[in-house]
Amino acid sequence: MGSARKASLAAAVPLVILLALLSWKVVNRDEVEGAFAPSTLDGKRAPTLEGTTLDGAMYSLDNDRGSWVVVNFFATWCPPCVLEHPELIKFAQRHLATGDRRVVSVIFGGPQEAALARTFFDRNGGSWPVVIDPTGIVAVDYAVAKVPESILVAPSGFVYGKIRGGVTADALDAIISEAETMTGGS
Amino acid sequence: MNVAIGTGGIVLAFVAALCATVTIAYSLVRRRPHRARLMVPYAALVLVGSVVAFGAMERAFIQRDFTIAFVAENGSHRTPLLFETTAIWSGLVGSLLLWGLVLAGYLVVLLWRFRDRLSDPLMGWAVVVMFAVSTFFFGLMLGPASPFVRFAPPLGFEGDGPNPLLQNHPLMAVHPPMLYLGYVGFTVPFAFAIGALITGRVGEGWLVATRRWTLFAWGFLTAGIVLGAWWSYEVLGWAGYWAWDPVENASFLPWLTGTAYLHSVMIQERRGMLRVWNIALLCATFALTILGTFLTRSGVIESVHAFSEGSIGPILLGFFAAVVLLSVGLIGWRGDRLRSPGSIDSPLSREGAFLLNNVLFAAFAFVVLLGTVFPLVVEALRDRRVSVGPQYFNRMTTPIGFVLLFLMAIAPVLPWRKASAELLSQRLLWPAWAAVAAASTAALLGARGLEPMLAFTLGGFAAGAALRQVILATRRQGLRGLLGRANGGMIVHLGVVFIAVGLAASGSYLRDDEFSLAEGESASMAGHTVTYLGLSVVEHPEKQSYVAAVQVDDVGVYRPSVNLFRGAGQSVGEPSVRTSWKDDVYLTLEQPLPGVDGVAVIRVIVQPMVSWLWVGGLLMALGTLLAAFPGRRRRAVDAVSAPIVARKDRDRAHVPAEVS
Amino acid sequence: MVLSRLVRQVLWILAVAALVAIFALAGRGDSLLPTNEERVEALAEQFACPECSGQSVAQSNAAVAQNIERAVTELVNGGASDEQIRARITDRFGEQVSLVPASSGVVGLVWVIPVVVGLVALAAIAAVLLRWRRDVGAQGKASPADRALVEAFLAERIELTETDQP
Repeated sequence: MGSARKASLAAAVPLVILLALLSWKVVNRDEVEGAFAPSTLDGKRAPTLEGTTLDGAMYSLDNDRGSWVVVNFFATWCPPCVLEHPELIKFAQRHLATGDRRVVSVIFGGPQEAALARTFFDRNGGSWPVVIDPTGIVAVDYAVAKVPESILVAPSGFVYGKIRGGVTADALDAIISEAETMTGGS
Repeated sequence: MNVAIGTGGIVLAFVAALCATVTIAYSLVRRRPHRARLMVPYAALVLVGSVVAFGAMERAFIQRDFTIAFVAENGSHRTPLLFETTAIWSGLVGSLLLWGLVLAGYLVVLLWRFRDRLSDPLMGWAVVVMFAVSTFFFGLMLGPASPFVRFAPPLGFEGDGPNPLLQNHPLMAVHPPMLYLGYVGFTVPFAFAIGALITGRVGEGWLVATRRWTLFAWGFLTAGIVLGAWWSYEVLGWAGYWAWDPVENASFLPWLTGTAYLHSVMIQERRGMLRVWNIALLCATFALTILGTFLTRSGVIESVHAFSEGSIGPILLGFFAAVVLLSVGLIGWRGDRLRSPGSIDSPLSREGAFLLNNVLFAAFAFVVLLGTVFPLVVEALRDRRVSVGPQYFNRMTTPIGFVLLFLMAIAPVLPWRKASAELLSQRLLWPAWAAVAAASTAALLGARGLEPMLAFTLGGFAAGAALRQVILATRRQGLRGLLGRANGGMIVHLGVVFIAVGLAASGSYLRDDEFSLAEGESASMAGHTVTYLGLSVVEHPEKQSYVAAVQVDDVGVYRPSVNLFRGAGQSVGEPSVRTSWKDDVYLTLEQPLPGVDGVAVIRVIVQPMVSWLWVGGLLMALGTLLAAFPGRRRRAVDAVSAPIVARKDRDRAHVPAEVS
Repeated sequence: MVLSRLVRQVLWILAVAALVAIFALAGRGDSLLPTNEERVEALAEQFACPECSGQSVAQSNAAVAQNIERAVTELVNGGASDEQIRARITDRFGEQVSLVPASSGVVGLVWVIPVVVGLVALAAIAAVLLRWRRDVGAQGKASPADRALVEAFLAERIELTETDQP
């Protein structure tokens, strides 16, 4: 009789522990939903972003030091990217004169992507630099999990945060202004 | 209208199940004999309620009644009728309706099957458990997971239809019901186990009754799993059939413990041993179906096919805890009666092999369970997000799989009680030559590498042993020799060998490449030539298909496509596969689609012997059917063991108390 | 299929010899250093596609997954070691992107626990078998009368040519 009881105890104890853990988990599950999500890049120096743009010019993120930069990863075939494009145009134009908030887009993928992006920009407008990332390493360094994603790089050259999904001009400005008041205040 | 009918059905089933649970349990405790008469009408009411509820939902889908939120989410005017009717199991609440329906069906069949024994208290308690489980599930549908939540569709609401992946292939109509028939079917043996524990009649009688129910549930689950693998192979576009995804693991876990039980129960029938173990296996199997449902339906685990709806998580977890505590408590309480009277004489015997088989299956299940819940545990304890991927499961389970294959070769020729080296050398000689044949054939065809070669060799060995048994049985009894547990079981073993060989070959020798082809251009790979013939656009009500025509060798034209579903705005690739017994050529059309230059990117995956998996699944289902038929009746005094040599004989002969 | 003992022994030796020969020939894969392409393939299977839960980078068709594969190819060709590439990618995408659990620390337990539990289970089974064997020794043997009874029973219906029909 002892052995059956012992066996059932031995089975029960780990199971109860497992249960406690799982229930804790269910209660405490907090999935971060919404646009402005934490990422592994937050507070770190922005990874190197250098390359040829669609126009054939050279671009380097370091040259934009001193301005806020929205590093926007996109693809022409992704519907939310198409949707956010006018917003990016709006944002870029709003700050064109001062140059304190800039946009740079990055496309990755095969050589077809560059051609597609060129037609896309010709058709839909937008005059900020579009960097081609032929090897995909830039997208990996910026931990792009799904297009579109926009990384906010502070004037110091450090990453402020990442926005998953489409952006709007007003939301971008709101986030940046909030960041400025926070750093300005402290 | 549909809301009213459906909710009415659920209420009816719930109330009937609840009343039945209470009144039958009460009459059992009070020892009132007339309870048997109550069971049948109550069960009929539960069945009627569940059929009405399920039917109302189906009707709502067919009518595209978007006043029901679930239909609005998963149905659309554009979806073809077939996928509109199968959309019911593309979400949580609809799956629960199916669960309830299958459970009610099992309940009624159970009562009909044992209509002469309804006054037996063991039977009574088993029926109470069935009703109690039904109460739980219909209660879920009444409260936290109600299928008939109302929705006010805006004008011109069209509906998105089911997830595009779920409306791509007719297998969607078969795979989930099969899986549920298996999953839910394990409730019956669990109910008997609890009944046996409560009444204290833990002898062999209830086992005989239970074994066949377990076998059926197991067979359905096997078919469901293999069909699921086939579905993901045909639909998902990466030529994979098994990814150790949590949902797959959730269906695999009860299969593993169920398989262990189907083997170890034979020791109990024959030798009266392992009673605690067998009861624990049945309880664990049922508990694992609930745990699996919790893991995949509560949103704690991310997975491709988990539909997360958080609110029922804690309830399912509570039910799982109740099942575990009830089982463990009852086993502890009845521990004295569960003491085994016998013992194993020699590890080298049929029962020794079954014992090892059970250790291996338990270890297998443990590894799968651990790997599945480990990320959760680490996250809960350490707040770290980690993944446990296929590499882990493959590396940990492959050795177990090899030992199981080896055991499959040895065990069928082992006699009960004790085997001699002489006997083994006689009986295993031809299986060993089958192994040689398999190994040399594989090597001649170019197979290399330790793991696949080991799989082919052991597969040949196991197949040889299974065939030997089948040949001997049919020689003795003609075609009737295929019937019965042992011989049907050998057909199942053959199916397993097919699957093992298919897994080893397709996993080890996969070739995967992408080709950018202009119209009329060809590419060669792994002995196959593919030629891109051109692209056409086909309009369907629910989708727009871009279909590439690709000539494979001289066999024919295959048409991988990309479908743009209008509802969800999603584009989903649909592969096309040239299947043969030797290898599969798997074609997908990659995005972006061919532009002005007309160059299409076509991914070609060549995998040997994938079709062996499906054949193996078919053989397993067939073998299960054969095993379910009663084979040759054996009288209690028939000699079943090895000839008795001069050795102490202290085993009590076990006469089956009843033969169902 | 009644073979003389000698023939059987010879056949066994032949079978074992054949298997040894076959495995000597085909049992080893090409154990040369993996090519860059094979390394990329192996690495791509070790990372989860960040966009699509459940699939690996190698399996997934998602743009991001294909991009990671391209980046891995680039890094491999650039001379980075597997370890460096793993570190770079998990550093960016987080630990959960690695499908192979680490073999050290808390996460390493996932590898260790099954082995320990398996060994304990085998030891327990061995202990039970040993105890049974001891118990058997302790109990009395069947008496000649028992034996005679069984013989008489069996004599009525014996055809013990093939007794493995369970």
